[in-house]
Amino acid sequence: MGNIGLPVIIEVKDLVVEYDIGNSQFTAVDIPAWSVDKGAQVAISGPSGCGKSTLLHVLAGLLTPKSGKVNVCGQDLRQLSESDLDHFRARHIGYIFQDFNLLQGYTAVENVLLGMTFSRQKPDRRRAQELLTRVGLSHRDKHRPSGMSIGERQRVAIARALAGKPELILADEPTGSLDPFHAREVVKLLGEACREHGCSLVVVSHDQGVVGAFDSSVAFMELNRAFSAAPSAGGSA
Amino acid sequence: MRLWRIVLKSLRQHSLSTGFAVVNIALGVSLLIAVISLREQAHENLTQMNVGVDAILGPKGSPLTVVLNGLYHMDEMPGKIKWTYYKKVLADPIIQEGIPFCSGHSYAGFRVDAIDRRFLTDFEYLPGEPGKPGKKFSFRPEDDGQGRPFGAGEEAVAGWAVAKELGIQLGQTFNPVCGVSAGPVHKNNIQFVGIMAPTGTPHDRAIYIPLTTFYTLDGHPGATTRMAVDEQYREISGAFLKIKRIRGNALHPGIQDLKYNINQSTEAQLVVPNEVLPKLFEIIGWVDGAFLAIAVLVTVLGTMCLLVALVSALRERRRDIALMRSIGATKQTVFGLVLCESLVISLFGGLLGLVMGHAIVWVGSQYIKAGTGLLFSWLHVSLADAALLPALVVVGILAGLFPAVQAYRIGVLKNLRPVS
Repeated sequence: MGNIGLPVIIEVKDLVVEYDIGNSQFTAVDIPAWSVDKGAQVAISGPSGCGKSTLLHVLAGLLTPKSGKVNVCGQDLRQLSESDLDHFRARHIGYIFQDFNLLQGYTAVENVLLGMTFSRQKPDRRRAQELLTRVGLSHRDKHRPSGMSIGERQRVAIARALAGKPELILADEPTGSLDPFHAREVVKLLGEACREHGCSLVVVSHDQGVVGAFDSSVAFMELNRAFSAAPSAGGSA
Repeated sequence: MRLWRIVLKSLRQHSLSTGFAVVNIALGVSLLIAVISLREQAHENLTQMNVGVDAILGPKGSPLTVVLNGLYHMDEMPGKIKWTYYKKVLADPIIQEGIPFCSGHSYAGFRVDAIDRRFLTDFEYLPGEPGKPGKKFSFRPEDDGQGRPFGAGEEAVAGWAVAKELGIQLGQTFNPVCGVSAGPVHKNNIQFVGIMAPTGTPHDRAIYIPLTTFYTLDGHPGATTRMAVDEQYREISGAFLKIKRIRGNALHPGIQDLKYNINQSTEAQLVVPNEVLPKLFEIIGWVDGAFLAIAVLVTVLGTMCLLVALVSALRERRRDIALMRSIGATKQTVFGLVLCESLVISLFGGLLGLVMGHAIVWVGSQYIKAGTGLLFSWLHVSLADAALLPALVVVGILAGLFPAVQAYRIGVLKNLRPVS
């Protein structure tokens, strides 16, 4: 949570996200105020469907909220056009998905290189190899995702997220597909890698084991007024 | 990873549909190139090539037949003209030179034309620029010729293509056939004394004998034999005429009056090849157009195939594109990637088509050379070659535009839902 005097990487105020369901509207997220300090590693916990992923999508500029202020990496996302949001995402955000979302036709090192390409950086194969070495996959650089274990795929996804030298990494249930052993490994690796690269980290998880591994955590239900107002409603997460 | 590598990788991932699209474009382009090249060269060969003959004095009938028979050794002359009339025309002040000939005989499928000896020694089958000598028939070994022009008596010279196809050797004899395909065989053993160096003209595909020999061939009726000695009785199939030039190397304008006067007579007609041959293309124009239409149709089908290949590939790649967008690729980037894929396919297809098209022209040129003696070059740069690159870019953009717009519109979140 933001401390007075420290620079913040995320600042959210009166954020409301609504989905159209038939003729009616469903409020998935309603957060009065929330902020994250620069360099912090924050875990957001909450059950499935409480709107955690929706918040991450908003923070990544993938989803436009109905109202409120969303300031990420010094940018007021609501003021940015769709094209500007693409550029914002490329320059500032590393995104890790629950199901990795690696490009199947590309090798591990190529997936990492793609992260560099789209973040407007010169594709540097040596750095891509170093990132893979950092996540313990130096021997798997030429392998495609289909030939890797689930844990290995998520580590490639971490390397790819770091490839663009982002200020903020958003991880959406990064251990959701992993067994407890690999989940612990990935969480540890993610935290260490972000610290080494000087980027902030926001992890969303329903797994209390994962949440407990971080210095700071927040229960999403406490943040999200919409969930407490309609606990039985379904969200995107 | 450079963007162009992403493009190539994507094409490789869909290698089958990419391959089909490339082949389809290549087929269309090759047909277009072949049809246009052969068409252009046929026009050049038959209408623009300066054959050294300004006009042909021939019998009444189809002017096109007179030209095809006189210059291209095709068809049959519709009749004869009197020698005395030829001499009368020759006396016109605008006529510089005349070379009389008699057609209607053959040997082993090739025409045997009787002609004035000056045709072999003085005639310029390819006139030079003003003030410069043109090309005459050569018998020199260094030009790939042999022997000498025929003299009097039962001697003959063979065009280069005839000699090559029939394996004619100097000293060898043959018996000409009366008629252009089948007919009575003359008993005269006419000896080859020369083989003309290649000219790249229809003259390569004919055998030439002296006029006097023609009249006295064994088996010809007495009236024909008498033509050899009595000019009043003599007849010829026609005569090549060279017209005097005026300033600027233009034909003497008096040719129009001469043509009018001759054509008004009942004796003969004056035909200017460069006026008549374009009519040939008017006659066969629909065939020409049909080939061109087929080629255009195949190219359009190739473009449609490219469009379908890209759209179906895009359907499989929606998630990949959404993923690229989620890690920073802009809408413009994915639009450009798909458009580039289309351009790469059309360029590859075009280049393959270029090679295939010229290969078709090469095969076609062999047949044309064998059939007519005309030289067509497989390296001929046609209008299609010149327009190929910009046309391919247009095809690539047209075919890629729709799938590129589709890629541009792909929503990130909607297409990133978990596969399971």
